[in-house]
Amino acid sequence: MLALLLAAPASAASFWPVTPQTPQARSITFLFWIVIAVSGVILFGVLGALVLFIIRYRARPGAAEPRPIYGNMRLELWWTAIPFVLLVGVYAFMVGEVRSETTIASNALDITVIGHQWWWEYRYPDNVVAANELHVPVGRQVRLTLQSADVVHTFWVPDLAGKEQTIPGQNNIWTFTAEKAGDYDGACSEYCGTQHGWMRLKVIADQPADFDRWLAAQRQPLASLPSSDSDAVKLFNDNACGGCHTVNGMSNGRVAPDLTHIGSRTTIGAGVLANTPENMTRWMANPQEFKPGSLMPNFHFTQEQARQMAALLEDLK
Amino acid sequence: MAAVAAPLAGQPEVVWPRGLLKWIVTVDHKRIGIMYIATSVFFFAVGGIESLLIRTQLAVPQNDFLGPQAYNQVFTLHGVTMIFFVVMPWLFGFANFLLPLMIGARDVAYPRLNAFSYWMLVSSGVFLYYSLLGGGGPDAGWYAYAPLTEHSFATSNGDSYYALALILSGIGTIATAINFLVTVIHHRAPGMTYNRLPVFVWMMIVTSILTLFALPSLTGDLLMMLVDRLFNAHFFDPGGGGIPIMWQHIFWVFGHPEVYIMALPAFGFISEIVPVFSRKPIFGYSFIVGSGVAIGFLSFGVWAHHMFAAGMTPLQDLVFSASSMAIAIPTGVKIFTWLATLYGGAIRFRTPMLFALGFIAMFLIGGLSGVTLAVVPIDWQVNGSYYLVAHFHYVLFGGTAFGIFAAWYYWFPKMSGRMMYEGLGKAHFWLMFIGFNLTFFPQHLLGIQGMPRRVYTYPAGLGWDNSNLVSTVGAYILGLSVIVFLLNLVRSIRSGVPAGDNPWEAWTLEWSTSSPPPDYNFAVIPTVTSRRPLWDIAHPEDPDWQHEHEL
Repeated sequence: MLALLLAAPASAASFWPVTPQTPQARSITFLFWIVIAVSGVILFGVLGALVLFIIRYRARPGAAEPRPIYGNMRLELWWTAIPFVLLVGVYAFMVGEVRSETTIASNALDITVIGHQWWWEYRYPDNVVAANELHVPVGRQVRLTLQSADVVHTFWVPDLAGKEQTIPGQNNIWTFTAEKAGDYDGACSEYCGTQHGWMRLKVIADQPADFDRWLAAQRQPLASLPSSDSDAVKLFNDNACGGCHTVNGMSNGRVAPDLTHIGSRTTIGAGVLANTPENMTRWMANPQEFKPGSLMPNFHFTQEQARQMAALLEDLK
Repeated sequence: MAAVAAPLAGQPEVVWPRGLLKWIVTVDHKRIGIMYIATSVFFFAVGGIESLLIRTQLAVPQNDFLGPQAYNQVFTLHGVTMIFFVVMPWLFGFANFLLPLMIGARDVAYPRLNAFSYWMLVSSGVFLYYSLLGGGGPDAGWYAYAPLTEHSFATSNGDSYYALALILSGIGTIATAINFLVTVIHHRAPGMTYNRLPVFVWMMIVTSILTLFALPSLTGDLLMMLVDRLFNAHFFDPGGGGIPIMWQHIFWVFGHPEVYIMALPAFGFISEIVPVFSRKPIFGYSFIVGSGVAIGFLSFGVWAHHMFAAGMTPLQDLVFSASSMAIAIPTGVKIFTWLATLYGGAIRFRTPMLFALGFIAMFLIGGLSGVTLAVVPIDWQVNGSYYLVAHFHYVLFGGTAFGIFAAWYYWFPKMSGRMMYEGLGKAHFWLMFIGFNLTFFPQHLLGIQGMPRRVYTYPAGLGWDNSNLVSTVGAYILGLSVIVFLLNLVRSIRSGVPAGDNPWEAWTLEWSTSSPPPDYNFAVIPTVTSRRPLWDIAHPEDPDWQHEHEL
């Protein structure tokens, strides 16, 4: 068993592969190690006794029936009481950690997270709307209000905090405090229909100055609207893209991700493709090829049209 | 007591149905039990093939072996099949066969109701799988969280078939629970007091009570979902004032006792098998029974630990965390008690015992990871991930399924009159033990690394590739172990060594009659004097009843 525990996973070198980056995630890791330590003692104690008894008490040919033992009250009480005490200890640790993980500072940044089939919408103060990539400032706690536009989803970024469901008709609150700039991978972890698999997300923690710059840029309407008689804008309008997607100054659909600054994001389709001009062209040519069942239909663009659309979108920074 | 198996002299000649008809029209608890078990084996093969489809799809990142629509139906069917059409009927099948024999009865209290329950299971299975011909299988997962099952999100009829199938099988299961309870209350042989019931019978009492009170909650939930889907009600539709989270609460009020419905009978198997192969009585009978009863009570007060991430208040989370942790205490008592039964024994390593020992080790791991999930913040991290998938497979496969195979090798001689082949049985055990751990242990790590459950594919480069591949290899080894089992089964039915009445030198009443038992079970209803009636006969110098006061 021990060999199995050590040999099975290729990643045994780093048993705790999540690298907690916030006080909230570190608190979870701390509790996990406590419980693993207590459980480990019990696990190897019991398995050790099991193996020992298997070797020591195997039947020997011709031996008489062993002496019956019907029970022992004192032993029963001990192995009821000891786990009880251990559990009370773990519980006491936990109460403090739950409190610290759910406490929210009054200066926390409020962001509304809305789960959609199958992407994430983020609404910042001052009507800044983003999708799939959540920018947060380093050093300032965020207070996420989790909502859902359709079914139950779960917002989960393992390195930053645990997870919380987004439930339609309900506001759930979640929090973390990023301490180090960087990108953190996450995903929806409640099964939510066909494309649950590609409902990934990313949290990008920026230094406060970078974050303010990002927020200011997002708040701006587009520096220059694409010329309304370009082929791409005609395509955009003829195919009613704006019915679902917002591009500030061009359209205000709210069913699908806001595209006003799509060119500045790192992924397409909630993580299914890296955001490059080539990938955007492939995505435009047939999104169903990469995210089958997604609510983004295939518009059967020609290669040239797909390239024009991609160029338009990549310009929306 | 050996004489009780002799056929009744001068029994009037009756024309009984023959061949297949004999099975279809039967109301005999032993035949119904065997039909339950055969049905479970069939669905085990189906659910097993589904699990191989799942593991094949996940073997490598960005695989396109199954598309998302197909994958989602396959994992839903896998879960529903394994829970409602494999584990439950397999356990209830054993209980059907064993319960009357163990308490010295001729049949269950309501034999025709018993047959009704079985045929409800069959019709329910037909309903569930007919969905594949009727426009698409259910694809909302086995716990089918609202509002994903509302008509606007689940447009095929699959989820309606799912609801209908589980309502039907639920009616049958509830009837069986009543049947078992009345049988134990009214049909015990003289001298078979509650204090002398085999531990398995006690576990079936608790299981039946859990079934009786938990299953109606599921039925109610499913009815509301069906009314929503078919007649546009709004129980779970927030647009019409419905409350989606109500589904979760009502579902888990059923769903957590359900876990123990699937675990307690297996605890019963282990508590019968470990003593016989250690050649000692069970250590602390009243504690092993009492801990089972305690688990039964507690199991109704822990349901919301499935919902720590659903936005309850910290206080609510902490209350359900406390009750969930409390279950670890009686569960620990059971494990320590089995260990103490091994202590000082003369252990015979026959196939049933190998599976029983495998059960103890694997269930221990599942139980401990269960404690980590009862700790609210840890649950926030790993709930909904592959860690959870690993946890409940250690409980339900490493635990219950190993228990079922222990029971299979142990009672197959009583059911068929023939022994299972020992060499193939041991090969089956070792392949299953290795395959199981290779499949599910790496999934703990995948969950900790951030892999959500129920994703049909995953990106490369997140460090998940190796563990997923190992898991898939393990699943194929598991598949191989099941093939070895089926080969052994066919060979043993054809040419297994005749078993005799009591091949394991066991002590409970079912071993006092012939193998297989006659229709009437016992020619003369035995009179019971202790917890181990056959021990008393073999050891008149030190009968068990002299020790009944010692726990």
